[in-house]
Amino acid sequence: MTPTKRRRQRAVPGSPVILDSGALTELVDRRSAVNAILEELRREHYRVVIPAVVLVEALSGKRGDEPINQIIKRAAEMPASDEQRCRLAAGLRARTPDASPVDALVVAEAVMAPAQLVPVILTFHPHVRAVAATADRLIVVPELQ
Amino acid sequence: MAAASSTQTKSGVGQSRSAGKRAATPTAMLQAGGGVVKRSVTLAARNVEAVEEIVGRGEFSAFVDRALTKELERVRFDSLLDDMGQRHGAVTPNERVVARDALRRAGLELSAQG
Repeated sequence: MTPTKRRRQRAVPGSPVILDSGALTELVDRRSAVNAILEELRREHYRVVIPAVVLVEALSGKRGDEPINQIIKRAAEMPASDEQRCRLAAGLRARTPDASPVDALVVAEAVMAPAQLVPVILTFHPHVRAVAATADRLIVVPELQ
Repeated sequence: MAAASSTQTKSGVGQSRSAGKRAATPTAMLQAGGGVVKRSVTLAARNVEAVEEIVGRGEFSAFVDRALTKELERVRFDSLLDDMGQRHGAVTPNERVVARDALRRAGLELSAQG
């Protein structure tokens, strides 16, 4: 069921590395596997994508948001949750009811990537992993510690 | 060196109306939304010739826009990693090995040399 059991895929330049709120927070708060994995994906010419809906969880609307705002500015793309993404997320969430709408939208962003790309999701959240595992599309979700 | 045609326009969504009128070709940047602007830039003649040989004059702007997008993504990603390096210290060789291993276990074949 987990994405780690799926077939191997070669990294494709231009593919998205999608950060959820947990990955964003880790980047700001402490040295973690996220930093090293991002460096590796940079070498593979991946692009940082932060779904706009992630900001709901990552930001507080207070001054403490500044470090995360700095990361957000560096994202290649911050796609909004349009109807297509929401419908896709709804279908994904129906298979994993414990997942939140934000969890499902993060995975939907990966599913939306063009077929020739190999999206990677950086998350510490088991529900995001669970949703990704149900996606028809092959998505890479490394175990983060 | 060759210079692109010079026209004055400021950036912003408010320019999208005039941009639409100028959109003689269905370029990717127009499809991406957000409006377009015109800038006078100086480019190496050999690059201009090479691009026009590949995509023709009609898609020149779209080609340059795609190149700009890629370069911006690269610079921003590098900047993000630099910031994280300053905040938490540089990634060590051991951490790099662990990261590569995590990606491989997740099913991603990396092409770049470790």
